[in-house]
Amino acid sequence: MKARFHLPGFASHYEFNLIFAQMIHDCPQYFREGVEVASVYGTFPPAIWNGGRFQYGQCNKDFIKTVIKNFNDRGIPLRFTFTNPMLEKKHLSDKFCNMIMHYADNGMNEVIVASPLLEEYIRRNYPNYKITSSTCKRITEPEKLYDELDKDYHIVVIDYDLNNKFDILEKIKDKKKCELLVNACCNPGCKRRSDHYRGIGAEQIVYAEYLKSGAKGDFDFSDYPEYAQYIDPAFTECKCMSRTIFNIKDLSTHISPDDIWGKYIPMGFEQFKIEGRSLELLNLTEHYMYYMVKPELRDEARMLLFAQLIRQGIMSTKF
Amino acid sequence: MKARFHLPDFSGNFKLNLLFADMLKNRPDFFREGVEIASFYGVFPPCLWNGGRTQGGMTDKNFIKGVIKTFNDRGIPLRYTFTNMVLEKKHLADDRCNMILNLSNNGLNEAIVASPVLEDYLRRNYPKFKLTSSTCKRLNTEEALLAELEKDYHIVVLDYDFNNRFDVLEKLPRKNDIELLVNACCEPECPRRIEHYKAIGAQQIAYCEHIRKYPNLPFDIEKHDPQNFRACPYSQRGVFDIRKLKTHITPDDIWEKYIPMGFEQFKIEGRTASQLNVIETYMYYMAKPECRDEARFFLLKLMENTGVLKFN
Repeated sequence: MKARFHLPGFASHYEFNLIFAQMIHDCPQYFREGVEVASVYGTFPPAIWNGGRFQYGQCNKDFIKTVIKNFNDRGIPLRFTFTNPMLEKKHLSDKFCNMIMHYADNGMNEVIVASPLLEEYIRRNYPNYKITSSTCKRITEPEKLYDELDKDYHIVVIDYDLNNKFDILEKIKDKKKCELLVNACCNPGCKRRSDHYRGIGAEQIVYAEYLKSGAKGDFDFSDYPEYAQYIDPAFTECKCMSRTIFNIKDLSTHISPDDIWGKYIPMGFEQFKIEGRSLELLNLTEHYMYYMVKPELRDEARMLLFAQLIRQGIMSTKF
Repeated sequence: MKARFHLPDFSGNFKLNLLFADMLKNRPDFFREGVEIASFYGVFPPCLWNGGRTQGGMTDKNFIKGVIKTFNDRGIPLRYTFTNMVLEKKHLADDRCNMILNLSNNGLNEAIVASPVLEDYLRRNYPKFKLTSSTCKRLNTEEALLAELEKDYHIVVLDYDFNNRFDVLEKLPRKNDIELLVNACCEPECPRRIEHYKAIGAQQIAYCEHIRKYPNLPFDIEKHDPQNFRACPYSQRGVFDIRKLKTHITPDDIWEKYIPMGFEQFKIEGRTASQLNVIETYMYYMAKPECRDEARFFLLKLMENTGVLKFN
């Protein structure tokens, strides 16, 4: 039995994920049956190809090389969230993104895609990469999902509006190829989700270009009136992304750990994505504990993880 | 139904305890039935009269006043752990300890005592302080305990070797004035316990003298631990390690056995425990089991939002 988890933020939560991966390795007794880290996904900002969540920041070459090496040395692939749906041909030659692809081009690492343009470019230029089809594509019709699964993808992340719809999920032939996003914070059935992903993609492009131009001062997406449709309060004031693990459990799209082990794994699914690239670490810790640790050992495992975070200087208390 | 908890370290755990007290007030839905904070206990180091745990550190007058006011304004007493077993008459006039008592001499605050010399001094000079009889006295015979309960103490903290000995506990009078130390880390029936408390007392006096003479030099604890008590591994037991000890009182037992019997005062030790241990212990004892994860998360977020906890 395998429960392969794809975890968020190899750069934004670098040390945290490294320590957590080490904990799974060193203390397997705390974890539910079959828990493995299938990948740690994310991006090195300011990668223009990034999508799904807007990511600030800048990473230098040394950091990029170190992160790739430290996860890959532990047998854990990085998976790049190159799911920006707003990419144009001119963005394909982006030096920073191509540099990342070169550094990690060892056959172990992976890419998630949403844009056909970028997918084709990657297939042509970086054939060593395993390719995941993104949930950002919003494939909500069962027939289209079944078609997507017939394509040459390593993994297909199912649109999470199909989570818990067992009539549709049962009919999937290759369930091992499917990945389920278990802890979505978004409103189920949100009609603006695709627009939101496009807005995030546009902001990521503008941000990368802003940095490239050498501009000074704080970046503010609302300074770009040509993207007014994406600076809508429906997106900027959307509170869904600040939901905690305790707020999402009642959403119809939520997959509980008991359902993972009681329903999904027995059906044949084995890939599960935990979102959280932009979550703060306390919230993310709670997600990891909830999904991967045996319930009766959760308190002890959390304490061990926190103690390790304190020892490594990632967390500190001042009473 | 009341479950009155005495919680560790108003000084070293000041911010944590303040956040916790406000959380208990604002989110009673997270907590088990009847949970109240009966007191925060501890000392303002350096403190000559302190016992039970050696406490290092320095606190100034403004901090002391601030802590007293902050907790007392919330109706929560401070309870001083003035349980140094080896005090002599010459120590009673200690300026700093007397200053602390004067600053908090408002009828709300309390002191725990183990030394008859100090107890007599406090009764004469600070009659407003409610006095608790300390577990450090090691009253581990029924006769001695019953005699203690006849004395004029506000509370008597039971020797924790009596924990879970229901044949003895059932017969005790004044159950609501008896305090049970629920999470002891020490080895049950340790023959060296009283010697250890005495050694801690001597060490505390040595520390205070050192700080007075050499405020800028580190205190060499090795020189002041001739019996090598610091090698005792039991003080390092964490919240998960102690649960198998026969002196351990579980939260379920508090609500299902002790409270129905008439007990209502419970002490959580932890003055020298790590902050993580203290948080976990609070959650274990006071939060409803089904709310524990959310309550802990709520508390940690409060700590993060107020700068008490940081991610670097």
